[in-house]
Amino acid sequence: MEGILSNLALGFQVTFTPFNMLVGFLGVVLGMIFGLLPGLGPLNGVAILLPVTFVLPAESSMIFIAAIYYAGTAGGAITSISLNIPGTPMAAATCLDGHPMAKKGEGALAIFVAATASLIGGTLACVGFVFLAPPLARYALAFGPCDYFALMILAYACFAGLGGKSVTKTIIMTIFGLIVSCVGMDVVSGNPRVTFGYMGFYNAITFLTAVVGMFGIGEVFVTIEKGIKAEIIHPDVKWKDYVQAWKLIVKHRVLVLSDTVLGFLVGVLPAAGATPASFMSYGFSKSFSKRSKEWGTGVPEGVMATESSNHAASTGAFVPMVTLGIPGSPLAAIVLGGMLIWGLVPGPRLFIEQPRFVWGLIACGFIVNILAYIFEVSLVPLLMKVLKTPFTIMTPIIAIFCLITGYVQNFGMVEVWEVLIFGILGYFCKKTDYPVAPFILALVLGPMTEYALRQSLLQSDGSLMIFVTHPISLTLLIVSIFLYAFPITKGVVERKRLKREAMEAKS
Amino acid sequence: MKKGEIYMAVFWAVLSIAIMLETGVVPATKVSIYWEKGVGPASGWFPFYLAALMLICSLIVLIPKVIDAIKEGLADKPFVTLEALKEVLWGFWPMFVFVFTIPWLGFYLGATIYIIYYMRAVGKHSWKLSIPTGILFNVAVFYIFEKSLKLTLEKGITESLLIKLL
Repeated sequence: MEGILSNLALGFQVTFTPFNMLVGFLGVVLGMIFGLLPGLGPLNGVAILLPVTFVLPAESSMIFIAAIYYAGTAGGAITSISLNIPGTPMAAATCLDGHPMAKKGEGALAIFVAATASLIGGTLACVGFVFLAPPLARYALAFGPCDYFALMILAYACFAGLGGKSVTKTIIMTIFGLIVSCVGMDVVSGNPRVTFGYMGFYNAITFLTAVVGMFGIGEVFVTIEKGIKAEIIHPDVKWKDYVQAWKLIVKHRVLVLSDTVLGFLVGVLPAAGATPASFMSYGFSKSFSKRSKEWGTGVPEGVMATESSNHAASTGAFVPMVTLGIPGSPLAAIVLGGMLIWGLVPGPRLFIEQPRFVWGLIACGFIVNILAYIFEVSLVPLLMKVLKTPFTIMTPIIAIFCLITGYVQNFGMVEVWEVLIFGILGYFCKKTDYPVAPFILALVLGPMTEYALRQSLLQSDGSLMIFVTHPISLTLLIVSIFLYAFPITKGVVERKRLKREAMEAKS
Repeated sequence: MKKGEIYMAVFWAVLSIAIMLETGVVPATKVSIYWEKGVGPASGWFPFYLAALMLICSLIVLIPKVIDAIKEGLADKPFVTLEALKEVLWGFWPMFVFVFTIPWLGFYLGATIYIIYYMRAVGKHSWKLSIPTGILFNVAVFYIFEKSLKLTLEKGITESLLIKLL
């Protein structure tokens, strides 16, 4: 306990410098804007703005990214409530009750309830992080290469179990990511490979060009195609709503607490992330509510449940990333890639080697949550103006940022074209239901996966039995196989059921 | 949608065959894909077998779709509607032209033209909004990247003019 407190004190010391606070504030503003814009979320915000951090020290970078992350998650709720279009995927469940509330003229109350629930969910999850992460990191120190390989397979498997509709498509995208991570020089032997003889590929395809291409440009195309035309309901902000929101939260404290815990746990599981967490919490709390029939018609509890849960999950997703080096959500995968570029190696040793960074990250979680809350509740009318920014202004600006990111990778045009090509590919993947997140995860973890695999095989002199004889890797692999098999069997059962029903309907 | 699905699966299959040929067969680019004594798996081992696995997966996606298409025909709702496609192309081609002309016009001039053009032609915003947005955005980018971050972007024909501002 005392150790934790002194570590936290160190963390706050790192965060509370004027420069870091300024960076944090900037991050909140930018994150809020990304959260508000329909079609773009904190995921895109982090992807597009990550290159900015490479000139900052690691701690400041982390604060900047964390601020975008939390503020973006919070800002998404405003869009869900007043537009009925989720500002971010993780705020999709907030539409269910948030928008009906806005229609009833309680829009401002809904926004305040969302902000307050986010604050509580996010803060409590940081407390959970403090207690869960250090023991997990100590445990993971005993992992050998074969255990690490199995752990990465588990990370990929989690995306199959919870991600897109088709497991095969998820596997294709994972493999594609692994292959792209091979392009360039092989670290072990120095041989160029998968370059197709093209000199531009000798520098490897950096993860950033793929990320800004797929999540920046690809997303822009998807949004252009959908053509967002929706009616904005302007909330009428009254001061008594601030107080009313707190009163409601206190009244439903059990609901908020249980959804925070649920969200946090779902977030900790690799790959699950905040979007499924918020839907699960919504369903969970609805079934326990006394007036569950009224849910969906604009009850504040619905907003509370989803917002406390998705914030808790966003924080929980950092736990496996920091301790094991396995991201808990697509966004954490991007942050993981960033950490590698900042010169940090995520994993259990991080707690020992970089205590300033780890505890700074935890401390800034607390601070950024509060900053985002203050910013959100005090500036609702202004934020509504941001919401109205036409997408035709944002499109070229986002595109230019993404292309510049490509250029500064190597100061050459090769990467700029790569960004554009990944953008087009990302658009087609979106259109045909190929999930992009496993690709990014595989691209980030690719070199580590290959290295762990080669090391283990070298240890065992080529025998695959090494993964079965080690208890940790065996357990992780069995869980992975289950995760891959589960959606497939579920699909088969579903199809049989549909067939039987069709037969019955005919007869 | 069916056509899109089939094209995409074919794309993955062709890509994986290309990678397998590249790493294992074509003399100019091939690397060892075998187990080497004392070294373990050689450089080509990992990508080659991954590509093989990807080929299998893409066939798993492709074959039922093709059978389905033969049985029921390809006519169904299109991959994108013509109208949406038009919008996407309108979004895409200025971006393409912008990237293509970067080595000549440089980032700053190109981006200014790109923003103003896009806002006018696609967004139907007024000149009064488009021109200041285009110019101010690029001034901001110039100061952030060139001055504060010391990252030099491609300037093309504007090189001699902009260098004076640094």
